[in-house]
Amino acid sequence: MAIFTGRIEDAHYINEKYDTIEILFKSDDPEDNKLYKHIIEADPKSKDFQELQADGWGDKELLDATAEFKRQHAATFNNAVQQRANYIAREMIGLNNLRAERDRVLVEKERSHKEFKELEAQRDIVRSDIERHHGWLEEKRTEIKKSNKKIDEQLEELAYTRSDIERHHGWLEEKRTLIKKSDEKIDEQQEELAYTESKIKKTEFHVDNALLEIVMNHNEQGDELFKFKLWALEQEFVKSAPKEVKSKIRRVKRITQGIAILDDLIEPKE
Amino acid sequence: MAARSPLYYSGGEILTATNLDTVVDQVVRAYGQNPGVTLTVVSSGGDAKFEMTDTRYKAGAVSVGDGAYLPPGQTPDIEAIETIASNITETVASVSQPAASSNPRSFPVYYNSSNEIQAMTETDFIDTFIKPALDTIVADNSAGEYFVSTLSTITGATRVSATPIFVDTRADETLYDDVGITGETLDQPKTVNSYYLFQRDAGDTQYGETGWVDLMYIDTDGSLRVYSDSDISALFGDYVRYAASNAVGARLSYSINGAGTTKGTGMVDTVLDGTSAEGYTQGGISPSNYYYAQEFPNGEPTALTTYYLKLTTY
Repeated sequence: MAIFTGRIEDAHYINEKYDTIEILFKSDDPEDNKLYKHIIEADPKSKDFQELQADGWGDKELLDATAEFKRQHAATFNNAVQQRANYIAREMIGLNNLRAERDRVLVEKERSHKEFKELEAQRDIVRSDIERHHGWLEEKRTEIKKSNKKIDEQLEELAYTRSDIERHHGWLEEKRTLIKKSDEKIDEQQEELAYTESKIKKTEFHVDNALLEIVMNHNEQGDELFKFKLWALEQEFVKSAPKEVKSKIRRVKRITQGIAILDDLIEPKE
Repeated sequence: MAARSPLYYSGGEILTATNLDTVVDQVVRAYGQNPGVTLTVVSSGGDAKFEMTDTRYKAGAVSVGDGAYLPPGQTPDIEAIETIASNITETVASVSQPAASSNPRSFPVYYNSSNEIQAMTETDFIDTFIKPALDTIVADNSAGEYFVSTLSTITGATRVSATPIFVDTRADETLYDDVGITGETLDQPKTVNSYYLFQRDAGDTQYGETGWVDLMYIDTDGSLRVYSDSDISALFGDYVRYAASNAVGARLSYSINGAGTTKGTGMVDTVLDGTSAEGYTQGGISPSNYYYAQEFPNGEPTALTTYYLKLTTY
């Protein structure tokens, strides 16, 4: 059983090839009065087509219903055309009224235009007066503007000079501080130098004394005296000295005595 | 390999079944309870084979003449708006070969050419019961099948989704009535019809109904036994689902305007058939003396394309 079986309201072809059928049917809900569409192929092998025919919709019924459908549709279409024509006619009537209104507005516009021209002439006179005054005002305004500009420039220059002075003042202050610091450093270095010099002197003096003290403390001591004698005899100027001088050196009792002999050898007495 | 005439037990006798319609109906019912091929409605991005196009016309842009109306030739034409509906996806179940295939005695018995009782092979079983059932599903209004309708509820079927699979829209000619001095809104559609996807519910069981036969099989001890309702039901259910998605020549496939049998109503894409020039309409005149005209969709509704949901085996 097809979905439309027993509930078909209308069925007709919907295309020029007559191969498609539109079936209008009601649903199985008794409260639903809406018509539903079911489209089928006009195919004798189709189960739906067979069901349609079994429901009393043979070829003749379908063709009759199709013709009726087209007639109704054409009527609907004609009605729509008629309505459209009425609408356009109504619009045309409205259009004539609009045209009359437009002519009236044009006359009014012409009159207004004339009044407007007169007003424009008056306005031009007033405008010329204003422009004249405006020229004088403009001149004064230009002069004031120039003065203001000059004052501005001077103020700017003054401000620049002031900032320059301030800048130089700062620079001088900076240099002054640097000099002060340099002076302090020089003082410190001089002090340090004086201290170092005194230290050097003390050290030299101490060294000189030490040598003499060593000589004097060991002047007669056997070991040191013996070492002195060995040392003296090894000296080239002693080796080349006469035998008796060497002998004298061997016999000295004190280092200072030996030094005196050596001294004679270094610088012969005149 | 071919369809066999199975043996059945009735009134103390073993008889050969000559009419299996009722048994096949039971297989169809089993399919309806667990279909191997299902359709789903999606809001967009459905399978390409289900795509349909809805076409409607919109008005051309308004033309403006300085001091006079521009003629139809200089007034822009009406334009077609095409909307592609891609709202259906098909899912083929991934089904393994049923366990019964590993036991030759699982299938119903018949008399072979030597007049001996023999169990059918798996192929015999499919040819005898399953393929006829799938052919029925394709050809008739059967359990588990999908079909299209303009209704929102149908007894014995379930609407898959409230989202229509196709909506036919058309220019609403009643709204195109005033060019004025601004022009009519270009696109003014109306919905002519919405088409929904339904799935037919599984029918009543056929056990014990007129025409039902108690099929028999060979037990492990070699004796003949009548299948229990649950055993034969499971055998039918497993195989009809498996065959619908795997068996060459028995697999089911839906499409739009493809091969096979139409399922439900056709879906008509209608348009107004008037030419653009026929819809030429003069409008208002502005105070600056400009004349406005426009071309509207017009004419009678006509079927541009009709889409059918088809089901076939392959």
